[in-house]
Amino acid sequence: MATMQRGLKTLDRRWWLIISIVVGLLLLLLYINTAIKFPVFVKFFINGLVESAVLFLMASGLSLIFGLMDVVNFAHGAIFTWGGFAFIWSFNLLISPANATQNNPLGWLQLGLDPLPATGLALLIGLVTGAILGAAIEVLAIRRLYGKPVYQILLTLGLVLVLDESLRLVFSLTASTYDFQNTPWPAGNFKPDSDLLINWKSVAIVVTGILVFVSVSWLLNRTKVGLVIRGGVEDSAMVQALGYNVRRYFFGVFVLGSALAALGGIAYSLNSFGGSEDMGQFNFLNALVVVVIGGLGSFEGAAIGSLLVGLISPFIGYHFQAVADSFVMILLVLVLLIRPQGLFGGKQT
Amino acid sequence: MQTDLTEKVIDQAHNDYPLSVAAMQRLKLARQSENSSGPFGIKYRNWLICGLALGLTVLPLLGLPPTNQRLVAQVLIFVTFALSYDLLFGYTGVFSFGHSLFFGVGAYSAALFAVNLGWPMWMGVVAGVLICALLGIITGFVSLRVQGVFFAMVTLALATTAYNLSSKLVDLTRGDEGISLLKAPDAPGGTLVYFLALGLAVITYFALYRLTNSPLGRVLVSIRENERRTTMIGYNVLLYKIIAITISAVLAGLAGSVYAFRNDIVNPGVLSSDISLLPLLMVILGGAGTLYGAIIGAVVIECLNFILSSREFVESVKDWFIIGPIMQHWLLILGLIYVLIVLFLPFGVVGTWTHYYKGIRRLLPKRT
Repeated sequence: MATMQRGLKTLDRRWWLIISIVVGLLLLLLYINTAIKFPVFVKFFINGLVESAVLFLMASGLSLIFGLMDVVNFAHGAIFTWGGFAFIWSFNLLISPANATQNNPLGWLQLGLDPLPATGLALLIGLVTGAILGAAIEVLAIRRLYGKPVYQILLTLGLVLVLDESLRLVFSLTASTYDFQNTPWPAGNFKPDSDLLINWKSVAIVVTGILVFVSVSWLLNRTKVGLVIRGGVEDSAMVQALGYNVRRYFFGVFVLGSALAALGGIAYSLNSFGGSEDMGQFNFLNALVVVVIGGLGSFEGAAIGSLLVGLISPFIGYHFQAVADSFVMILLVLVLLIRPQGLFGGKQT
Repeated sequence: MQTDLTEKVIDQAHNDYPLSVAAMQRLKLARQSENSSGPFGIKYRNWLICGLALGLTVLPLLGLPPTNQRLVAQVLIFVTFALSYDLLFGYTGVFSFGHSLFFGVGAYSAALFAVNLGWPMWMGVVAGVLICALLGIITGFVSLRVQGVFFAMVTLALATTAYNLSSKLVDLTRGDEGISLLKAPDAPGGTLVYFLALGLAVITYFALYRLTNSPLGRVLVSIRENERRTTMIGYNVLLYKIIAITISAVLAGLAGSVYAFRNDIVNPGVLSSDISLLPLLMVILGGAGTLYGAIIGAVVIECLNFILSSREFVESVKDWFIIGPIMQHWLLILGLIYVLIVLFLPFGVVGTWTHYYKGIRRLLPKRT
């Protein structure tokens, strides 16, 4: 697996490719939008940015787990849903409006915090839920199945069933949606223009996406931990012989990826003001497409892929409503058939 | 004929390459199990299947109530569906995650041609079979380009696209509401559907049994075991894969159209990923690559589904300590069973049983 080597050697060319794709994307958007008025276009663009940030949060975890470690984790979407639901549940618990008792079993434990600390604590709880789920899946199941992709798929498909059903059980869902009972922290909006309204939560989600991108890239490319992980992917026996416990590093990557999936679920539920049961499945497919488009093992590829999908899909939805949901799938088939290694991947599929 | 050839090859191999004692014994065992057959040279399990089919044929004549007929018909439809998937996954080793595409296309074309165009019902079914074959060939060509996990992704993407289209093209398919088959006067119903499902399942089993024990089936198994070597021996792997996918697609499409008759309504649910997941669960539960494993899996899962999600059961277990709330979610139980099987019995119930049975038989005194 010479992905990383080749990636380092051709760094310049790669960045040029990224820049040219971004420029081309903007031109494409402008072209599509000759018919739409300018504020509408900006609104769509911002929606697209938020969507791609959510998508990227999920795809970054998937890129680590699937792209880097070659573990096909279909339960990633279920962890996304669990993260979002745990966030909503703990937020409802902590914020405690008058009617909060009806939906949670611990209704007596009402702390009545302000939105900001409540959101912060709930965020932490959501992330920890994702990390614990990821750790449990790794220890109990995936650990036995490294290097057997078909069995990984079979197993994680079963885990999707288990996790989705136990979601209903644990959060005692009666409907397929799960709502906030008060407004979480980045509430309100601001008006840079008379026609334009931007929510603070959109800004928060996009900033989170950028922060995650920068920090994970830094972790992978500039630290010793990242070096060990990349080396372990390339030749695990050699790194093991040098005295690093590669399994433990892989475990860490798996937990980190799962926590990122939970973060994605939190961002999604913030953005759409509530969660639904099928949000994990839907976003998982999109994230899978993003990772494959970007190229396996390429973290920047996942970022560019989620920008591509997230920015284009609102416009596709506006112009061609019938194929709006299928567009991403068609994109996946086209990419796999024309360039199976993805836009930035060196790994052969 | 086939066994003669195998024996010749084995004898030749014995002469050419000295084998270890263990390997010789394994070969002998393989030969024995291949030759072990019941009366008239037909295997015991095929006699069993014939007996079951006969029993199921007699049942409605003895007065099986229509609700139970519908239940048995559903089980038989899923037996056919799981068998068609076993040919693909168990024998050829092609991992598809979009088998609902063929099932749903079969169901939709049976309904669409009859209701929207006013064609006779059988023509709709034939058209569905042709469309499924075409889709199978296209999917087969896709497998040239992407393999393994990525083939599963492409099939998943195709099935999801079909699902989205079926719920979005409201003018054609009436969206989530679905097409009612009651408007088609010649749609089979009641006991006829039961016999259709039974006939389809039995024919599918014996056809696939014959196919998998023919030279073609051996090539498919060798593709599963080692694709590169099969290519090197001189077989056109792509062609054989396309054949397997097309046969599987046609059978799944037929199962889908009978499912449409059985339900009297076709909605996008037949194209959903839940339907794709079912044959996979069934085949894995029973044991991949053994045909009768697929039958066992389908029967077990459909019966469990019926029992565990029935109102009486849910009411009766409601108050059980701790287990009560869990038992109300039957998909959770199914998922747990399935995960445990993948982890601890990776060859399914039948595969593991056969393995131990062979182990036990080796200890018994040999018949000479």
